[in-house]
Amino acid sequence: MRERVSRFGKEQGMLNFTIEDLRKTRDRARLRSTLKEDGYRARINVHTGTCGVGSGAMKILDTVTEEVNRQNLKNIEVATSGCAGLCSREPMITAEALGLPPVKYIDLTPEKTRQIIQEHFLQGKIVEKFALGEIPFFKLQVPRVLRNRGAIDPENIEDYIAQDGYEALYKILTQMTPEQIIEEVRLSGLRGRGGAGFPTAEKWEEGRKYKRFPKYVICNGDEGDPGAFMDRSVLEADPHAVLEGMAICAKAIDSHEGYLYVRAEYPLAIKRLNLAIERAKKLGVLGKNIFGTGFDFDVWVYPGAGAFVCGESTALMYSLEGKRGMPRIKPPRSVEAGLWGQPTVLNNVETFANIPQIILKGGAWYSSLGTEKSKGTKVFSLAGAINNIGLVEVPMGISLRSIVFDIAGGIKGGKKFKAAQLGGPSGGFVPESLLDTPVDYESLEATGAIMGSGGVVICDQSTCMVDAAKFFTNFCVEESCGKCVPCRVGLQVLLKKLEDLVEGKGEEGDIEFLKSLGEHIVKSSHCGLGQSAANPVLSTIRHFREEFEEHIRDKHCRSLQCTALIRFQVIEEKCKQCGLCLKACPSGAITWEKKQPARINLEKCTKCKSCIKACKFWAIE
Amino acid sequence: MAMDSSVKKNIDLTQIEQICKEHQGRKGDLLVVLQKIQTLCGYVPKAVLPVVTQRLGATSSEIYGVLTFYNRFHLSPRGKHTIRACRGTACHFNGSLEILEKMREHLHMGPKQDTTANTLFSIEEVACLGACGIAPVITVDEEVFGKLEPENAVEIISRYEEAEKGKEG
Repeated sequence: MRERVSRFGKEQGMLNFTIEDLRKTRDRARLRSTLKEDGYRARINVHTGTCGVGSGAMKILDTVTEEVNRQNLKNIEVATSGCAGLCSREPMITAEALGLPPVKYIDLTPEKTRQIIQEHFLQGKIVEKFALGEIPFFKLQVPRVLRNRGAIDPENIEDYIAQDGYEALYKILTQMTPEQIIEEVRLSGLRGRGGAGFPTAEKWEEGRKYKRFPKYVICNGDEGDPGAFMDRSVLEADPHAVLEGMAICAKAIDSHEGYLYVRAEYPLAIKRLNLAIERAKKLGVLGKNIFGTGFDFDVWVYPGAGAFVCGESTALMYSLEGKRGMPRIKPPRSVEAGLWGQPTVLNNVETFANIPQIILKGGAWYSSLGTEKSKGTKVFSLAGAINNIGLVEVPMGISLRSIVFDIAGGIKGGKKFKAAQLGGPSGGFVPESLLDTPVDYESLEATGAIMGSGGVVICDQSTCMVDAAKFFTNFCVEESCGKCVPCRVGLQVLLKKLEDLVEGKGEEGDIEFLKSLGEHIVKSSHCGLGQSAANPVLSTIRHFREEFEEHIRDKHCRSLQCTALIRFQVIEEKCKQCGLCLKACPSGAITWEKKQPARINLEKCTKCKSCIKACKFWAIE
Repeated sequence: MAMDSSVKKNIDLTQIEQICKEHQGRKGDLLVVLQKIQTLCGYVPKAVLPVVTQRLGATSSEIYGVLTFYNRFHLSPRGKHTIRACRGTACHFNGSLEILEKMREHLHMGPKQDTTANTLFSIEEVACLGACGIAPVITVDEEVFGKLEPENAVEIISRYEEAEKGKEG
């Protein structure tokens, strides 16, 4: 087996790292990070996750470094860390200074940054107008998995150790039997955070039961659901927590080799993981003879190659074996015969990231939050038509309404809520009437949606539900591996019908056809992808049937999204004669004079919908 | 994994040999080997197949099967810069399709064409880049650009075009 695992490079040499060394490192790192008069008096923490970088965080970092050097500010430390959670307000820094509370500054530009350095750090005055005040976004969250987000430098292992990192691993290696580890996890009530919600302890216990060696631990970081970015953020902001969780699992099931399968679309996460593994092995908290206890656990990062279906566990394992990632029929389950036919425990990123805290603080601590069947917290990525876009961690049992209207700050631009999309292409749409549903596995499933991996996209009234169903079906058509007929062919027929509806070619009976075909695909497909691929269609029909009917009967799209169903006419009663549409039109098709309703010349109109987007009064249909 | 998609006209088979040699006889390493070859060449040229077959013991059909299964593999030379347009949910609801169409229009690309005639750009549609907080998003090579309007996306591409012109002049 050894030759198989050495494919990613040479083994690192390592020291015999003891608990005393860990504690010394921890204390040193804590001391280093404490602001003090005779050391660093202040710290500028620039958040450089993917969202931050995409919004210009590197420019902010350059400005900060430049200013600190130019003014020779020796007692200010410039630090970087992962995402702070509020992606829509990036670029963001956290400013810490002696005598002032920590402040998050948002929506930064180089100019604002210079002003903040001047006033906050040199004059000791908080720049209120750029600061993020106290908002429910952070107040209602319980950061457990995300406890270190934006606070530690993910590329510095000492930062993680300062937060009690690798203490849990030491504890289980020296003070707990594998049975006790599994018992603690059972007590926590933790269920798989990848979406299906299988009890983690049960999976580990199964994995332990089989006595064929080697066994493998796999972390599924193939977060493919469009609209989900929890795992990316966790891997980017706190990679060691995931590695520690994997090592604990390895001890519990008696495995010595682990793999992290991460999407190739997440280059920053892959880079940080590789770095984290290298540092951890160098220190001796991963690799051979961990903490001198004789326990070996080695782990490798494996970048995916762009196939959504590889998020399915059996497909993922085939991909790790260098094959096409096509799911197989279960049983046998992976715990019995997984990677290379050996017993394998596969968990999601968030599941593993929960483990170290469960070990340190106890299963009872973890299960003190949540509902009867869903314990602890869940990380959600919130996106779409809301004011506060970002990553949140909430106690299980919180209502969707609270997530949308309190944490996410409601709908952007004063528009109306239409639906919450949960679980991506395997999930469904939750309408306004079901917003009081508590967040737990069973309640969400009852609405026709699923907990899923935690992607939540909020739609306002400008999102057409038929188009949304088409969007997800199209996604599943593209990503179907092609192995079984219901998924490969059925989805294409489903898509064709939805395209007809969107183009105004719908006929009576289409809804029944979509429903019956969708149900067949769910029932007869081979793997999780196919069995859930029709969920978006079924749930939109269930909750938004009237929109389907309008598309078919009235050839009308109330969201003004389906171009073929828009007449591009100004409704004179609704037109406030403001002229905004004239300014927006790129093809000179609109005529408008003051105090007159606008007119659209259909001969010149290219149907680009710029006017519809510009009109605040829904006066163009 | 950084995938620099610069076009290499001449395939250096000795380097390919070197890569394959490290994985001699290990068919299970096929994906890793192909990823390394793509990083080196920008795509997986047909000419490498005999070497991979011989060293790893995978048949041509197995290799072809893998290459066509995964979206990230390319069988023909790529543009110098790879533009990835996110087509995830959040981006879709925020107008990513219009951005994609505007970019294609600007680069005079047909709907099925993925690389520009001057081989400067390749466009890929990506299921989700996971940066929904700043949707709609595109990446050019490894650089991320968020909160885009169609015009911004075109401007970004123009900047790359200008930079290339600068290099030529």
